[in-house]
Amino acid sequence: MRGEGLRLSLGVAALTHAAVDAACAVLLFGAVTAARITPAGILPAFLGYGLLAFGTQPVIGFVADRSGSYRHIAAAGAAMALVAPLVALTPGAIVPAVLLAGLGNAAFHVGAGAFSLKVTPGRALAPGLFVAPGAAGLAIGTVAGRAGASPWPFVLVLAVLTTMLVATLRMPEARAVFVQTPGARAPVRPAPGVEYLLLLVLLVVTVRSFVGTAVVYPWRTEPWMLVVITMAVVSGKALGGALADRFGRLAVGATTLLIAAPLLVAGAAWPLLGIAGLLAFNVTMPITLVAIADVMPKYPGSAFGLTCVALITGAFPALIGLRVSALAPWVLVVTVVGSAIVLSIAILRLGAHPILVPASRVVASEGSTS
Amino acid sequence: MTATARRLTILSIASTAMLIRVAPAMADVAIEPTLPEKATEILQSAGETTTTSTVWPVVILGLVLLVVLVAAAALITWAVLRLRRSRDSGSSTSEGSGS
Repeated sequence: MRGEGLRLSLGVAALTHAAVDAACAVLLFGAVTAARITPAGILPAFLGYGLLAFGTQPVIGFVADRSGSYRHIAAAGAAMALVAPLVALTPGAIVPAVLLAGLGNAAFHVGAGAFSLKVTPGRALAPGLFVAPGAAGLAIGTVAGRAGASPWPFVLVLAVLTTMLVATLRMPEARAVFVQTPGARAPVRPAPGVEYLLLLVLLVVTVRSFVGTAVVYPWRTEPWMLVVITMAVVSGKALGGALADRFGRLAVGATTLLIAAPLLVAGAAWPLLGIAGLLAFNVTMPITLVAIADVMPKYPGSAFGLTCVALITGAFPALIGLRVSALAPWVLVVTVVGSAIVLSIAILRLGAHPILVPASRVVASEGSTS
Repeated sequence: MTATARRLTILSIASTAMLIRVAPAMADVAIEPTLPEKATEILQSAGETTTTSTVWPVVILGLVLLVVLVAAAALITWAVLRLRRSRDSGSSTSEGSGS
């Protein structure tokens, strides 16, 4: 498949990602607003959804990797997420609706996420662009759900995008990537001990998720801040991939985490610093994703799913209602700085050349030799 | 401007416009970028009407499910790495015999 077609596929997958997350959020928050979920049912609904949507991804991913049917799994997941908000409108049908939304979200993420990892193998650009719009979809769906908005607009948009996804999503051929490949790294050989390095990267994802739930700013109630915060998160994830490919994963991953640590703490008093901190903090997302995918290049669905299990593990304390936002600022700083060190060790040990040498420099050196 | 840059610009403008359209209508809404955070808020606000006796069984069940899912993920990782290792050793053996 040629580059133009892959760009279109990636664009549609990214937009569908936003729409799927929006549909799931509008279902859950809309159900709470409309009292379709009783107060006693809120915890099971959110916990059940979170565990299904994030926790089942490795299993679905492994099935997708073994069967190779990423496109079908992505389309089926989007279709399930599309139907779920409508099922939720039926009295007493909130349980099947949450099950549909959770499993559908997981299937879509795995199928389309695997595609994004295959578009630019060994690079973080495409995965970064794919994951970024999810935060925007989630924000819009949450606001709409809490306002009691009808889920129909979300369902219709998702229906159009799912149709486009089915029509356009084609898995790239082995060598068909729409960016220059010289900077892409060779797959990491699974030498003894690589499991521990994977565990370190997943630990960084867990910590990022945990800190993400612990950072709650008092100024976030401003409506404009909603837009700015969402844009910062989306931009951080989208930029992360491009920056890592340009300047190297180690440099970008460690630097942005170290920058983010004080900014996130200072952000409580100075919104601008907090927003910059959130942006920097989210840059590592595509970096950790491709670091894991590099170890298992034939299993992109499983790799994508592993990061999501780490994500839900980090969010679990907040999800069950523990007040992690009450943590002392120095704890946050130490945690983020610690995760920067752990990420650096893992990246360094996973392989030197492509991580430390920016893609552009590899391209230049190859050009000079030829 | 390339076609991709043009599409990205249009997409950015459309996304921003959509967010701007939605945000002011919700002046009293606090929001963070992740669902778990929002869930936490709602759970905390619902805290007055739920009791510890109803919450703990759910939390314990959730924790058990999480452990099961993490174990499944670990098993899958082990299986994937084992498959890769066996494939790599197979290919290196055939390369060796070929030479």
